[in-house]
Amino acid sequence: MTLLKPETLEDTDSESGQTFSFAQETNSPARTKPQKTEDDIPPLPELGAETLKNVSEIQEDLIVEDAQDKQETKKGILTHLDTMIRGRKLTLDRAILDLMIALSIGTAGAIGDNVALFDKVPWLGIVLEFVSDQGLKWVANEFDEKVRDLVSKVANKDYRTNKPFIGGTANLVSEGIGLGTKALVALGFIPAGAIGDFVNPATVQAVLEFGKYTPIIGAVVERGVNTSDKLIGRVTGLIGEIFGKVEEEKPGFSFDNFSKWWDQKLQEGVVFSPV
Amino acid sequence: MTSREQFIKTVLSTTLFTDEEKVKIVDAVDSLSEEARAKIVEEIEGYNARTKERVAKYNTAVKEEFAKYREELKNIPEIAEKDIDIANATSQVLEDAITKATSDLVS
Repeated sequence: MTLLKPETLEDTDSESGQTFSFAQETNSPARTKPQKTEDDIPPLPELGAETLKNVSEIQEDLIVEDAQDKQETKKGILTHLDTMIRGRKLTLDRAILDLMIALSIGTAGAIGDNVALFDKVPWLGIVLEFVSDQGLKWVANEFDEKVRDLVSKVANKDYRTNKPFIGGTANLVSEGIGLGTKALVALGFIPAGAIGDFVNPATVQAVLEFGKYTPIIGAVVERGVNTSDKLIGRVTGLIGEIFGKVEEEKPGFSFDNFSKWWDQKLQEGVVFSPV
Repeated sequence: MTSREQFIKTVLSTTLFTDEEKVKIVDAVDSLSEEARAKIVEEIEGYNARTKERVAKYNTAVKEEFAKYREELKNIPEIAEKDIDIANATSQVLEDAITKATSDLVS
């Protein structure tokens, strides 16, 4: 677009004698000096906008990098605590457990590796990754008779290894608010580890409210590549059995009550979505 | 200052933790052994140092962006000198504000 040069006109008020000036635009080529077009002059705001866009991207990168570093650092702290607890250099009491849970929220997988430990607390979660048999071997090797007995009371034995376990599966837990998650949480189990994606503040809150009254060990068996559908069905049945056991051992507890509480949390807007 | 107080001070002054996490750590201070506290402090100090480096690196990038902008202005003869001065001054103010904001993001 060509810039137009104003043509000045004058008029005089007949009563006051005052002279007024008017600007009239003309695009007469003969009377217009050669001008630069607007397209020739990069407007300042556009230059600034490009710079600000780049700066904004730099800031976004910084935020992402910082968040990743925070997460890794917290996992590092959890690993230290975990190592010391396992090495009996640190006693896992309620305060440390709460700390570990607090640091774990938002760091999928961290809880599973760190929170569910030993017999120092009245409620435990054992996390197994069931991609191979490693998880079951780990339970067999790591936990003492007392723990294994407790597991045996509420669960049958794994059909392949004859080792005791209680399991949910990624499928069951991925229902999010379905029976699997409700059952596992009600058992004092902390969904975590490989299924850390499903860990969220609401789950932890549920564990804290219900788990402390539930001295039952829960284990999560993630459905891995080697896990058969038969096992999934078996686990589904186990959860039913386990709930029956909980109702027997915990007067006043019922799946319905827990289910109502859980649904109420949903209505209150508690986020159950994966972290 | 005792090691306990030093530990709490380090925890409270870092940007690594949320307020809720800080409360949990302070609540657990007496349960944590000296070794555990030392490990946590080590992690915090590592994070603090990396954060400082990160902010410096990103602020350098921000400054480069504005320097590039000012250089571009110089190369546009159609813009009046006084307008360039204004743009330079404005961009400097922005640069300072953004640099500070960048630092504040992690502080």
